[in-house]
Amino acid sequence: MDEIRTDEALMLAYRDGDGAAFDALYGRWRGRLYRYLAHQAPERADELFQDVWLKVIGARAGYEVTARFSTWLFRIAHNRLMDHFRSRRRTPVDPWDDAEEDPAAQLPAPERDTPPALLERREAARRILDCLAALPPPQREAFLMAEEGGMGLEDIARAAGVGRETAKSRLRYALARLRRCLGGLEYGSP
Amino acid sequence: MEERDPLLSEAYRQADHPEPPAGLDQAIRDAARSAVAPVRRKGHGWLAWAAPLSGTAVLVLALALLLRIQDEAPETLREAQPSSPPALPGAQPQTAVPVPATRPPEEGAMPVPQRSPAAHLPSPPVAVVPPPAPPRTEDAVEASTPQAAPTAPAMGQPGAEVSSTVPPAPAVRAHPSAILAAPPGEAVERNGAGPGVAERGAAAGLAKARSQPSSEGPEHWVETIRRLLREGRLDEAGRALAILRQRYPDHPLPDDLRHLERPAAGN
Repeated sequence: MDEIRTDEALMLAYRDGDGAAFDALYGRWRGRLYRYLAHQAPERADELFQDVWLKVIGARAGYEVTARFSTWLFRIAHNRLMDHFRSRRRTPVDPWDDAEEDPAAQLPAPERDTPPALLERREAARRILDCLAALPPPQREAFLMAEEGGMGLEDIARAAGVGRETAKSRLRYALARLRRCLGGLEYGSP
Repeated sequence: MEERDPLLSEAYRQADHPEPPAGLDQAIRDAARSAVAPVRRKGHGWLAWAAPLSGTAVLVLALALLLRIQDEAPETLREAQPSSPPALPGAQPQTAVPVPATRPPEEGAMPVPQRSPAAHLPSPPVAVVPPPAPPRTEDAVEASTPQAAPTAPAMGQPGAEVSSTVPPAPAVRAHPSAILAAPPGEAVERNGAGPGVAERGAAAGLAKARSQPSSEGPEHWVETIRRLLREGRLDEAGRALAILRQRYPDHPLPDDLRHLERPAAGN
């Protein structure tokens, strides 16, 4: 029965005390959310993953269907990631502070992560992951939201707290960089 | 613009992605379950107390309101109460059945003491047994008719015509055993006494009278005396003999009982 219920219906059921609804919801989104976090903060993925779900659990009482559940979930994850990055002062220049422009698109990737080196050292499946890791964080997040969350531009913009055009620009740059990173290769084959 | 690149998406899906550890999955699921469970217990606890608290509050308010009304306007409560309590099922209304005092005194010359309506009803089986003699049957028939309701004249009331037609025996006779169970003076007194003495003697020998045959002719008295003698109850046998002699002075005493009569004859 849980297979035919939407994510929003399951969350509402959990809000009303149905613990099994949470199990179904968690089964749907555990892998996607973990990958979203692990590709952005691999060293703290477990901690962030648990924090996000605990926030979902804690926010159940006030949950209302105002957007897709995936948008709500990734919005929580995005905020947790921002807190994590700010607490670590990861970068002297905040790459997330790109309201309209996308300077990350012009940032060169690290030398060791250039696509030719990666393509030579690693198998094809790892290549795209390395290319993804080489992306500027906002572009990587936009790509992960699209791939893992199945979200469109509107949802990506809402989850990331940016305008639709910003989300569109990030995603466009992300795809372009990945293609360029994988250059000349046929995707999916080594 | 394209939001997806199918080839990139396929390459991404084929990559080896990390998965959350099983221990982490279990910890999160446990947290989710435990977060729901306390809410249920809390709700049930409140519901469990809600009904008793509500009931108690209603009772207290009702009692307080009643006391306040009683203090401020007691006449209101009195008016609200019925003039007489509702009749219980089977209860005898005290004024519903006319008592003898309300009846016209056309039958009895003497005023008859008031008796409860139950006195006119067929008497229950008690020690007072109906007399076996034919005159007793007439009395019973008369007693069952409304015209013969006052039985007091038949019990020795002076001036009653019925008293001249009945034998000198009391209108209400008790079983010999019942009479013997009473004190000797009372037993003798019963012969000419009023109904109160007879009823008291009958009540005293109620248990025995119910187990004895209803016949009380002289032969029955003789048998009773013999039985008392066999049981060694000599005093009671003597009293029974005295009653037999008083009631049936012409009845020949059997030989086996004549030895009881000798001392009395000597006195």
